[in-house]
Amino acid sequence: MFELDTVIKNQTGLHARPAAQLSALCKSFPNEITLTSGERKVNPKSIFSLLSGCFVKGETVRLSVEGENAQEVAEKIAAFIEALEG
Amino acid sequence: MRYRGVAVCAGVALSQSFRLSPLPEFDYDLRAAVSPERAKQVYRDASAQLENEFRLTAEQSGGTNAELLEVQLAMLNDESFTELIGSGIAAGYAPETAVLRAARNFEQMLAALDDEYMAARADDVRDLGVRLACKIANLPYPSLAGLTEDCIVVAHDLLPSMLITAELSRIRGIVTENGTRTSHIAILAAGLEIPSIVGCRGAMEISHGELVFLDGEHGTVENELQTGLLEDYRNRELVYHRERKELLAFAEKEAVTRDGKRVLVLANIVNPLTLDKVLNYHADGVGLFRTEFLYMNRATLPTEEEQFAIYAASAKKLGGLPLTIRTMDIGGDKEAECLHLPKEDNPFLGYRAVRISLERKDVILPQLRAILRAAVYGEIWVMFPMIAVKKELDGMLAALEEAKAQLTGEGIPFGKCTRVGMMAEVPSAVIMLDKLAKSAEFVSIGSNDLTQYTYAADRMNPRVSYLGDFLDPAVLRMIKRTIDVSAACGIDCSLCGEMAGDALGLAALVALGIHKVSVSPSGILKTKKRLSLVDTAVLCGTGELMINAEDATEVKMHLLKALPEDYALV
Repeated sequence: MFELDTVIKNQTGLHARPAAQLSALCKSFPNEITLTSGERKVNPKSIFSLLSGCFVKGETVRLSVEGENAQEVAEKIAAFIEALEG
Repeated sequence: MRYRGVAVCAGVALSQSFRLSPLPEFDYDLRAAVSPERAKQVYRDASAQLENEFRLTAEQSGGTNAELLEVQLAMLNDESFTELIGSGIAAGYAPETAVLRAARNFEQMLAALDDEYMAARADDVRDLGVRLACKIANLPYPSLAGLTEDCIVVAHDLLPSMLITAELSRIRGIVTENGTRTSHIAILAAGLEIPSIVGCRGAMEISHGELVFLDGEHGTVENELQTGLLEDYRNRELVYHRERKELLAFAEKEAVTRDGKRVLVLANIVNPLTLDKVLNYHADGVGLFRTEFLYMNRATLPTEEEQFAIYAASAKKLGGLPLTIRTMDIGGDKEAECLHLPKEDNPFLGYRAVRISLERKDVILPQLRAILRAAVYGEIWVMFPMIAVKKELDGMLAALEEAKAQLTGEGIPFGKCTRVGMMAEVPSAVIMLDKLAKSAEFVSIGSNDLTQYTYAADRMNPRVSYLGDFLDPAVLRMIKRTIDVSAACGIDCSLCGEMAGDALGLAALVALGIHKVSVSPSGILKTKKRLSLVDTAVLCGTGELMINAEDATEVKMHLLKALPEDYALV
């Protein structure tokens, strides 16, 4: 398993479109992925699960990736979260 | 006939109505007439068709539209959604029923998160469920896509995708019977700046194709219009369009007077949803965040966590612009079940605001703790309402220290509120401001209450409404004193209240030397435009004349002399 912390920088946090795009990206990897902040733990492959996390701008989230190429996958997702707009 | 609802986007429109056919009524317990395998296939086919439609529409449209479609597309293919539909079908439900039940499940989950953004997403999944169910059951999904003539849409329930897929260039206004200020449709309509009213009971009595007049500012829609008044309605609409265009030019500009003096223009908000407007119109922050909405229509007090989430999200969203949070101001005209307050004969002079907070630690400590914790995420000013005497201010400051001590003891991180201040709205506080200013770091004049308390006249009572003019020298002297004493004591002074949103009221404030006002989000552009027309050097002399005038009539005369002719029309 590989773990990585990243900060949400876009204005609206992981709402609406950012959540839709993030879930689409995560679904493209076969790995098991989780996103955690405090006591909130979600499956980022599901938009409903992501939305239920209510992640907001400025929040640090921990990305955990299982399986093959875990580090590469985690870094790709982290780069995507950091580059989110809107 | 005039129907009244909740105004969600200002503006007027005179046009024929387009009555949207109601949504089909579905039975949530309908069993499948075919095998589960067949039902699953029917659902999959419909889902694939809808996905194609979404992709086509997304390509053709942009912006907000594409965003909604992208979200709904992600929901449509979400594993937890498809799994739940699958198990519904396996349990013997008809495919459309399984879809509706799954959508309802997620709608409720999102609505329960108690986050404004999530309330909008709850609408999105409900919308998606109904669209997919219509497709499966071969029922028409009410559409506004083919509009060929300008119209005001009248609907029982308007779902987000109906608006997104609509021929928007034809929609001049929206009226719905259902919906609240936080419905996604209300947010979308406000974002698209379509004059709109939601929660308008009885509106479906309006006939299809009938000429109606919608006033999105006052939240009314009228039908059966008198021919004699048509010209008047038409003119109001023309004026609205012309003004709107001129005002939008001020969105990007800083608020400065004609002679180049910077005046800060902030916003009064009742709900974090309006923050988009505050940012889009480049206001200088939030000068008054009313927190009463947190206490209304509920049986239990809002928790610290609930308040923290709202304050923190708002502070973050403002990205460093000040967020002035006013602590609970219940009492007076606002009733709140969760506080169990006894009914009073004279509520405006009774148990209200800090008078309650000082006795009710269970109310004020969670609020102050939430504010302090949220201050980690942005620039927060905290403001106490209805301060009448120094003892009250000291009491509130002590409560703030107590909240800090608690958080420190519990190891919970919190930020430093940039400034701690009070409302100047009770005459005793204005008179004693030189003493109070030793403990307050800013004051904000609440012109509505200060006016009614200066005259000892209830502003809700129409019989004494002649005693309500804030342009009377009695009120102006109170305001001048507040501005002057604040300046002498070196503390920040602003005014939030209807006076700043009034053309002559604003000019009078500039004449008295104010440099910061807070107005409703929809008034930001107008205020910037008005300021661009006034000359502080000219108004400076008017201030003295106003203070020494006999009454409001004389004050207005002095003001009009000092203002350009077109000023009062803004």
